[in-house]
Amino acid sequence: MKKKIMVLFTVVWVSVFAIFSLSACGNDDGGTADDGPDELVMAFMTWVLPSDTQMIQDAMNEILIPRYNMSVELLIMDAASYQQNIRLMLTAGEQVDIMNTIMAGYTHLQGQGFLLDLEANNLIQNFGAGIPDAVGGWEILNGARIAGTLYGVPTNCDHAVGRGAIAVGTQFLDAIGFDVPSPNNDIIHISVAELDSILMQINEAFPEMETFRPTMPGGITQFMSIDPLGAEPFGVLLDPVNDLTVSNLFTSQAFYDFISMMYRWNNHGFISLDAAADDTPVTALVSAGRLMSYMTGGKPGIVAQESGLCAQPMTIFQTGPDMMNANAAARFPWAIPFTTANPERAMTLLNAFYTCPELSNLLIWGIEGVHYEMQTDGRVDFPAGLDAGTSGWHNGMAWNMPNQFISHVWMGDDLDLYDQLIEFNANAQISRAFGFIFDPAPVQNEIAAVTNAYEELIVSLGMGMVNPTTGIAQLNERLTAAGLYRIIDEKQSQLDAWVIAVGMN
Amino acid sequence: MTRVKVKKKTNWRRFIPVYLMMLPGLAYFFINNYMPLPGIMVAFRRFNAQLGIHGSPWVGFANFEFLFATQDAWIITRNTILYNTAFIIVNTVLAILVAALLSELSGKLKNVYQSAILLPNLISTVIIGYLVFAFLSAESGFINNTVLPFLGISPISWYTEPSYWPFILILVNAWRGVGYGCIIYLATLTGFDRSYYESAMLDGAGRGKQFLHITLPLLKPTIIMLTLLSIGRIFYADFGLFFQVPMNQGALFSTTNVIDTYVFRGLVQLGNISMSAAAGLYQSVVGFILVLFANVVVRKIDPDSALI
Repeated sequence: MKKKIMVLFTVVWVSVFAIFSLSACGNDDGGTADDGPDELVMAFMTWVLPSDTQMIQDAMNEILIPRYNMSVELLIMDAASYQQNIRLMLTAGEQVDIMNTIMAGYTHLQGQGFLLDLEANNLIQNFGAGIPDAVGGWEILNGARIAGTLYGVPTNCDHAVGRGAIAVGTQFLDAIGFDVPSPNNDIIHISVAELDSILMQINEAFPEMETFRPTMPGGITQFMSIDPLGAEPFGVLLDPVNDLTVSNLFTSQAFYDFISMMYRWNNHGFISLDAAADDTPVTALVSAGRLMSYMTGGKPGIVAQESGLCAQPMTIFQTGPDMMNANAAARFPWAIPFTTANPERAMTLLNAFYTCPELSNLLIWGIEGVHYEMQTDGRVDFPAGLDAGTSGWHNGMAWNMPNQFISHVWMGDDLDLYDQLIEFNANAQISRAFGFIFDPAPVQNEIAAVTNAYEELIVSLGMGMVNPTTGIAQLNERLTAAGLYRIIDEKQSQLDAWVIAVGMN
Repeated sequence: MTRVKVKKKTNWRRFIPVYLMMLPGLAYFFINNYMPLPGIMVAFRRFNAQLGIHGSPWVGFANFEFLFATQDAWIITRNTILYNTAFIIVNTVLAILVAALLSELSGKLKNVYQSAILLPNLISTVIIGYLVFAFLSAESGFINNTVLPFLGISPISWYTEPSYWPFILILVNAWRGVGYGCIIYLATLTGFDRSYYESAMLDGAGRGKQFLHITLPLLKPTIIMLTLLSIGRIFYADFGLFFQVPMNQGALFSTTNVIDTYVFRGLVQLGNISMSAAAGLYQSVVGFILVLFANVVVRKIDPDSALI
């Protein structure tokens, strides 16, 4: 009896183990059948995984198979795991043909050899001929070059950011008698002094609420009219339109003025004592009735966007210019990783998503009649009974998809939103370094040390909790000791080399 | 001679099912802990995906430099070691005390206490961070708005004052870890022969004397083993505890920045696989050396309790 149980036990274990090892090794080879359509894999992220991916994929393949003899598999990951998963997949050599580089980092992926040169053997010229025009010409596309080589294609979205923008709940402006225009669809341009006076007034009218919450440290590069030449402001252009000198932001007058303003606002009780420790999104604080205003970035459609997030009408003020940074076209481009089954087919697929409105609509808004309905004025909206939470395909990722400009406009946005965005990008001030992408490799040790020192001090300084004079002096002392000036020197020498390489005078 | 051989064979045969039952566990360790070992090489190379881990260019110890090239190197190393030492001492003492107290109880109440004390260990650190925030928040926190006014003390800005955080973190870690830590001690305690205690009682020893002269000596091997295992991880900081609980507050870095949070903050922008691997390898090697050293010390003092 005992023996029998042992044998049974053994058999069960062995079979469990066998099944486990089979399933672990049972990856399909991802190869293409000789006569069927080529199977391609497209990877991108969404905030929440959609439930109707298969339905969208089938609908795309109904277009792709007859037209290009290829089918696509949508590989969607959520924002939190995208960076790690995509790196693991590529490192393991799994097939991915086109992917978005957000989170994973375009320059990091390129620096570690994950991405293919899109112009090798005239790849983009031969198989992606529609792409340059779709993204607004070669002058935009060139903005994604790393050391002269093109590894990615920018998405069609707002490349510039309206600087010095603040969102204020319209109800508070009404209460102080501020004349809010009607309809309130556009950004209101005012001076810093006027903004100061408005915030003072709403602070007096609603003393029990938090008046203003700066976003730190991200708000510094969003609010100030500087070009950080990369993600962090370690060596910036203080006058990006005219001057290519890389400077220390933290010793500049502009930075001192900005920090002093925050300090003054904090001393007036604008900012919650908990602001530094509390990481609740500002829009959630506004919709909860605790906060009246916060920093944002100006762009067409921002009023509708922020009003939606705050669940109440918002008014957007802007005190600075619209400005495009050096890396504006290189923030989250689409790329072809080295694990593609066939670069030519991958480029053909990418081209299709940049030029075919049907595919773009499927990718961004889903299937008509299922995920959206065409309204009488030409915009689209949820079918009856669905909303953002219940729809199986409503990702809010239009800006991250290849080409939203050839897709429908969603209800709530202006019918000419895409024209506005194109105009916004075209009219914005452009950094003279547009197209320069800093390679951090030679100063990685300094960046690691400077980042730690920066994060230690910047939030309390930027929230106006520290005296600007002593706080900024301490910041500079720490950053200098951590090697800030070695980063600045490296940036300057790379920028000078870039200027020569692109033939700018 | 032949007899011995035959006997050996039967022994081996008899244990086949046992070996087979071990197989999944061994496979797990092989796949997760041994197969990735050659990947350590990435710490000495400038990783390039197209060349692979073993084809990437060799850079020697360049990837380790960022750990030492900074003025913060001393602070993060000191913080990591001191915190972990404090955690080991405080949690061990509390876990033994709690286990001894629990072992005195019986019936349903014991289960209730044991579950209640274990509960914090099951809460995500992110949530613990917000629980602490509910206590320490400047505007709406329990301590600043209820406790301190009651005691007549003016409010304290907890999230900008680094000097309080060693105590807060040790307290939070004890609150979270003691329940889990006492399980093993409690299991060991319950296995002790009750007759020791009975004879001690006959001799007139009270609870305190019983604890000091029976419980503690009997627990010694367990304590030493668990402490040795903790020392192996003394160079690793609990990332969640040091990152989430102080709400990633820059003003608190001088007492909350540890090796793991430093590496995270420094590399999140760079996304450099080789430098992260270098940091991990450095922590493992130092931990390994420390655990061997501690084991040598233990063997000198009490050879029976040493691990190897």
